[in-house]
Amino acid sequence: MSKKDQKETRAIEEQLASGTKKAQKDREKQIYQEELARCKEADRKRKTRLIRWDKLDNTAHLFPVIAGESMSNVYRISVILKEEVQRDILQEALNLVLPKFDGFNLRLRTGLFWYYFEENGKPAPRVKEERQFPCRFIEQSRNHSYLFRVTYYGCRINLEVFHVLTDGMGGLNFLRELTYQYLRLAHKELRELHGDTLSQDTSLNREDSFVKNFRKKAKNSYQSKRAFLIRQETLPKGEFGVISGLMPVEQLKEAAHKYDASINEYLVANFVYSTYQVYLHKMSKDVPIRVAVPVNLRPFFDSVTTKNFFIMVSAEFYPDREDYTFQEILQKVKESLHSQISKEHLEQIFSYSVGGQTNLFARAVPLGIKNAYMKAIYKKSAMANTTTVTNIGNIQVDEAYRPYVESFRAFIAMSQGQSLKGTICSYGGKLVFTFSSIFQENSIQRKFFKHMAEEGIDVQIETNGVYYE
Amino acid sequence: MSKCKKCNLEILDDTNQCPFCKHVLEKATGTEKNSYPNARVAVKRFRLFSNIVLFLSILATCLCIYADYRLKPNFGWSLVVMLVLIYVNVLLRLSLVGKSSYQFKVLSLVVMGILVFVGIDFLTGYRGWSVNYVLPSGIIFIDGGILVLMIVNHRNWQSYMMMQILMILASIVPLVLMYYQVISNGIWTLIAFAFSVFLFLGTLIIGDRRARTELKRRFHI
Repeated sequence: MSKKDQKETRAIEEQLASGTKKAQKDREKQIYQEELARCKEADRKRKTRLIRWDKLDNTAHLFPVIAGESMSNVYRISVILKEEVQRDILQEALNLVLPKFDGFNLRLRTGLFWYYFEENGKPAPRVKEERQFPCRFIEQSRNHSYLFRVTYYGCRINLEVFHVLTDGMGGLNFLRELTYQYLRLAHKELRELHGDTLSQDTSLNREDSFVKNFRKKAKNSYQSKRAFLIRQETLPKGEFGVISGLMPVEQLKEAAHKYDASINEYLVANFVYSTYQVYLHKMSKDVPIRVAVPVNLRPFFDSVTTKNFFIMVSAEFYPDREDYTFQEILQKVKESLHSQISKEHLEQIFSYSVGGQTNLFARAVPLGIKNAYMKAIYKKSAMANTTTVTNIGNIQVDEAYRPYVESFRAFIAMSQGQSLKGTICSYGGKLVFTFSSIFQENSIQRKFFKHMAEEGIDVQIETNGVYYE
Repeated sequence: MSKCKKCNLEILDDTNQCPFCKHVLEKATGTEKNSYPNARVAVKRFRLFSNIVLFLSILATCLCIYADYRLKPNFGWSLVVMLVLIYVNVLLRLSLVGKSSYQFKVLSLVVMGILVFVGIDFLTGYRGWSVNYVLPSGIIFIDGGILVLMIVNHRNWQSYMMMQILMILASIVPLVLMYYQVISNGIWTLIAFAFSVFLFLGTLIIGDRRARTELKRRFHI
């Protein structure tokens, strides 16, 4: 081929390539324009119709009453990508996803008798780079009145949710869709393949499953006897310690099966064992170590709601001897949990509080009086647990997005009497147990992870740095 | 990846000591990176600012009391200054540092302002100007503020209806004071009451279905 021919061929190839690029750009532009038009249409409709509002679920009534700077009732679920997060793309993803989630596009209002949710309709909250401690209180007057915040740091996207809105399942639902949308915007090939629609596994259901499933005339079966409370020097006000232990699920399974226990029981028992070992000489044999374990009620009652639908059961252990082995403690924890996790018992626990909520006389009491009553009841029952260990479960990600997702993290804020809590989540064969705490010391965390290592589990530790100074 | 020989744990953070036992880590080749930002800086900056505000207000209050004591005036003017300083301090804390809603901020600042004026009136030999004029003016001021906010925040104008109801209740207070002859000149009291009532009625009638639904939401049992 002559030089002239080569030049001509190259020119044709370039022209074709630029044509393909142009076509691709036009297609992207078209997708964006369509989405924008859809959002604008939704916004226009929102302006002309009546504002949507909704009642709070049974659990949610408590959160606005007790929430504050020191007890934010905020939890965090984070996804770690295999690439650096770009702020503008994340903001765009949030702008696109939020209008599709009625359960997140809300603000909290105060009525004369109850709090309630009202459609928010304001622009999505601003995505910011993480600079402060996690799980801070979400103020109603800021953040465009939304009840969640989205931040990022390096490769991590953080979703922090005020518990009044939804529990871990609902939060995870939203974070997953936000991540999918982010990846679709960051990787055009994904967007072309999947468009900007929500995943088929995502639920948008907002029924109050507590009210739907409660049984009338139930007895109070909440635990209210005082438990052993961990007392230590705390970090300066506003600071928050995070320690995550990353462990292979297979190794954990093997270790738990050795004791004929589930991973959850094994980890809860390890928490109890660590507390028992560290505070052995400060404990009274009459006061138990009690670990509150939230149970997701959806599988029991065939619910797909994205409102709160969980209940607390307690793993109880009385330290009446000084020589309990881990195996013995695990056995007691197992028995304690097994005796409580049955559909009938779970139904009984939440039916009592839902019964109160549906009582006409109780309903007509002004909110201020209700709040004072709820606060008093909460203060009493808060002392009934040493800590809380919550399990988000094994997180599933759609196959198309898996190559972009490294792992997940989750943790919860402190509550009255409980300044050290644990959260479990797993993804891609790795389980992450995260301790969130406001204590200066981390002796329980140390004992916990050291014991895991002694059991032959490879543990990798990641912290937020507060324990180095 | 670094390893703590003592705890037998791998540490992913960019550090040379174990976060648990403070033992020096066995360094391996790898690129450790901190997973979280240093959040302590932000917390410290916030604390410093609020502490400076608190210190300056205490200092100013003490200086005024000292000056008053040294000059021995006819009446304790330092108490008037102190009231104003407390108000300024609350104003600063509430508007700059406070995290409550702006509706609450405006309401509480006006109520506090009225109380300061009543206090000054008493300290200067009580002539009743604070209850005759300042108290109803405060109510009119908030009503006017609500009207402005409804126009500015027109997407959610209905959300100010509870505040309007609260202002009707508040404007009954001067009426009661007028009944017991604490308020001698009642014209401003009547204007304040009428303004509050008609503002609410206007919103309810003109707002039609949206206003009624707002009340239904707010009063749902």
